[in-house]
Amino acid sequence: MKQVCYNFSGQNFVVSGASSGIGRQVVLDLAAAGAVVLGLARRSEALEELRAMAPENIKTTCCDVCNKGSIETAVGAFVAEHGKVHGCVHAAGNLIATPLRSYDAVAAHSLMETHFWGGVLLLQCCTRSQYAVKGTSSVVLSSIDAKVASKSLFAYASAKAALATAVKTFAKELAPKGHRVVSVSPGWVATELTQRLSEFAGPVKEEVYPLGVGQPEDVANLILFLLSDNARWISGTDIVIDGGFLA
Amino acid sequence: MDTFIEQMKELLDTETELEGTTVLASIEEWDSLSFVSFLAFAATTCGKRISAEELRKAQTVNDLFVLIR
Repeated sequence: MKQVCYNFSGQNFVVSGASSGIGRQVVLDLAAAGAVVLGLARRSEALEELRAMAPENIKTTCCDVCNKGSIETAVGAFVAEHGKVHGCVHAAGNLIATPLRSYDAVAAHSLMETHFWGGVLLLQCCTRSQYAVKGTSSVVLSSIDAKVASKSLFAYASAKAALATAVKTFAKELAPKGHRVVSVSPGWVATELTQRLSEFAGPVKEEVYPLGVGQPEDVANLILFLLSDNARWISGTDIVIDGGFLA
Repeated sequence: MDTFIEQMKELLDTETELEGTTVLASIEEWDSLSFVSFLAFAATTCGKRISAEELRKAQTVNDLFVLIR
């Protein structure tokens, strides 16, 4: 029996990066808690599979978070059908190695586009009076890589660091309407993203994680707490969830 | 003027109905952030450099419109 169960019935959320990993888990958990969730991602098959798990609560749209018009269309249609949103979660983005001496510029820029600018666009859209109730709660995924460096990951780490910093400014700008925005910095979580990371960086050194590697559910649990009223006094900050790695 | 009103509604992120005669001080969202946003809007979208002092003199939406014309 879980110690904590959430009740988000009557609430609407938008989640980017919904097709896999942490984003997907957040969609599932919000839906299980009674929310209606718009899952955004680029992979239509994965989205369809996700939607089928709880079609009453999970709505999906293929969308590129780097495209402002694309986000507005998707969120606008969702709001028109289900009402204004109560928050969003930006979990979109992948991981590409960009060692300083030989990085691919297009790939490196795309990391900043998806992780950082995509997050900015999603937050901008989901906090507009037109689409959002007052007092929304939004979470973006940063990473402990923004705090502790790994070779060949400067572009990813910098994009995640940029997000965490932007969150502080947004928190101050959005507070007058009661909106909260927080970043979450996970350590190594078992997802497609880290699977890809281990392909070129080698397997994770489990011994540096006192509590072992994380699962998407672990981060989703934290995110749901942050989206809830229990976190009403948390904004403009970054929360580390890393199995004790940084300790 | 209609376009300008739409642009102002978006800039202020307000759902209040705006007219030329609307007094800025009566708009909940007319705060220091909107002030900065308007200066940026004037410079970038309208190509007009307005000073903060000029903007402070504006009392109504019409006054804003005059500044960027």
